[in-house]
Parts: sequence; C-alpha cells; structure tokens
Amino acid sequence: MKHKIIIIFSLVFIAFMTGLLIFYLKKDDSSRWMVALGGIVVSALPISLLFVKNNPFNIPIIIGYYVLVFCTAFLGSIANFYVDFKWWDSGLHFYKGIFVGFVGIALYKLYIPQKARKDVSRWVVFLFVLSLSACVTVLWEIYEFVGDLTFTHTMQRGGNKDTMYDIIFAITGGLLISIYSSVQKLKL
Amino acid sequence: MNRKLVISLSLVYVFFMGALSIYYYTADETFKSLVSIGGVVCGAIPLSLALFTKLQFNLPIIISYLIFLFASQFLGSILGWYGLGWWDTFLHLLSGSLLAFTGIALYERLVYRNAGKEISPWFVFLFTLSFSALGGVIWEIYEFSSDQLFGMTLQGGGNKDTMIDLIADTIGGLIIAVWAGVRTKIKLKKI
Repeated sequence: MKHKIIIIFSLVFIAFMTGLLIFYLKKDDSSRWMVALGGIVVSALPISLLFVKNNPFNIPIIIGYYVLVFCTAFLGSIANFYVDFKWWDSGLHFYKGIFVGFVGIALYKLYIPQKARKDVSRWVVFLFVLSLSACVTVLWEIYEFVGDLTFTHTMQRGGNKDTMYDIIFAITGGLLISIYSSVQKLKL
Repeated sequence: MNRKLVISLSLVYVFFMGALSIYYYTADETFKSLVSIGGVVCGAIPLSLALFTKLQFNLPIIISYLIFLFASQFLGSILGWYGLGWWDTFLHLLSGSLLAFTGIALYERLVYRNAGKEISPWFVFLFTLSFSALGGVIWEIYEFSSDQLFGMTLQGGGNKDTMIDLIADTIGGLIIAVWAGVRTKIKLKKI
C-alpha cells in the first residue's frame, strides 16, 4: 500500500514537473524551468524510500510531503502565489514546521527501538522534534539565501524581516507538534 | 569541587563586569555600562545555578560559556571587536559548537544509560546538530524581537548578516554533531 502510494505520487509529480519544464523551456522562462527541474528532483526523492529496509514514514507524511512540493514549487514559485499572496510564504512555513515535527516523531521511532523508549525522557522527544524543525528551517533559509546569491534573486527579497517571520512561523508549527509529541510520548 | 570552581569563576566574571559598569557609568558611557550590566546578569546565571540548585555541572560547558561571554560582551561590544567584521561570525561558529556540546550533555542526562546501547548514532547526530540550530534560531529571534520592540539595531546588518550568523552557527554545530555521532558509533561497536 505504502509502496503503491509512493510510486503513484512520485510518477505523477515527475510527469507534471517534466511537462512544466518543457513548457517553460520553450518559453525561455529561466526562473520557472529551474523550479520545475528542482521539482522533478524533489518529487523523485521519496522513491529512495522504496529501497530502504524499514521505511519510517507513514502514508500521511508521504502525502504531506507531496502537498508541500505542490504548494511551494508549483503554486508558490511557478503560479506566483509567493508574490501574489503575502501570507502564502508564512502559511507554508507554518505547515512545514508541523510537517517536519511529524517527520521528527517518525525518526525518533526509527532510531530509538520500542524497548529503549521507556528509558528516554519526554524532554528528549520534545527537544528533538522542536530542534529538528528549527534545523530544517535554517537549512531551508540557507538554501534560499544561496539560491538568491546565485540565480533566483527572489526568495529572500523580503529581507531580514521576511526571513525572521519565516523562521518564527516554522518554529511555532514545530513547537505545537513537539508539545503534542511529548504529551503523547507513551503512545508513540 | 566543580561547584566551587563554577562559583568562583562566575564570581570573577560578575565582579569584573560590575566594576566595568560602574566605571563606564561614571565615564558617561551609557551603552557600555548597559552591556556590562547585561554581563553581570549573564554571569549570575551559572552562579545562581551553582548556589541554589543541585544540578551536576559539566565544567567544560560552563567554562566555555564564560569565555564566550567575555569574548562577546567585553571584547565584542565594549572593546568594539564586533566592528572587525569577522568577529561576529567567528563567535557564532563558537556558539554553534558550544550549543552542540550543551545538547550532548542534555542528551546524556535525559537518556538512561541502559537505553544508550539501543539508540542509533544518527539520533545523536541529528539531536546535536538540531539542538545547536535551535539555539541559533532562538538567538536570532531574540535579536529580531529586540529590534522590533525596543528599536535596537542588533540585526542592523540585514538579511545577509542574519544568514551568515545562522550558517556559522550551523557549521559549528555540524562539526560537533559529526564528532558526537562518530563517537557513539565507536562506543556501540565496542559493546
């Protein structure tokens, strides 16, 4: 079931992004075809999950990942939502914080076997989930920053204030899930 | 023993900063005087932890914390080394690794020893790296909100400065996290 979903989603997304790539290559719209190219790469990433022994990510996380790719690469960058709607960026960062929070829970379960979990404080869960979402946000902003230095010039054009709001929204999302995860620790 | 050392080192720092704040106050240097008061407060944190709690201290962390305060508050703000340009970045690199060590210490405190054998080195790596990223992020949020609420200019360098700070934090954390992960892996092999 999980395998089927990964295969279907990745193929559909790769086909969609390839279509966009060809379309914008013909139009010579370099910022858009680059996003589409990046979209192909990120859509293909979950395929690697088919080859690992135990895939820690459940179906909601996988679907959540493709929702994120669609909202940022297609709606955000190609359909211009990032520019047209001011809240789009912040909203996505909030969503991303929550998403990474759930990824954190999945990784926690992967790396710490069931029988060892009773010897792990709930603070570890709390800190791990929160920190992971902070870490991903930082990597994301670094990616935007480096991208702007080289070829896009649009991702961080809102300046410092925008970057900070991105980070604050993402951390808030992560915080919610980290509170949830530490409260629910025994059931994880 | 550790406790006495922590108390005396923090006391030295608190007195040093207290003297500076009085000195700069009489010399009519409000900014430097305020920074020194901040120094007294920051130095008082390990001091009061040592006096009023039963926490076990990790001496290397407390010492690097005090060195970091000295480098940031005294050398950076009062002697003006932040004006050098690279000083700020260098300190972020240091604070990133300092935070990573704090993460490791916390992790070791919060996980019972017999669970340690079961936990993947990747968890240690991710926990350490992410913890230092979290610290960097909270620091930038603090700078940002001080700027917004009190009209200060901690992030005066704009987006580029914020980003370089964060990159330096992350690199500092990454180095220690790799070390922590590898160390855990070697430990697990021995068992």
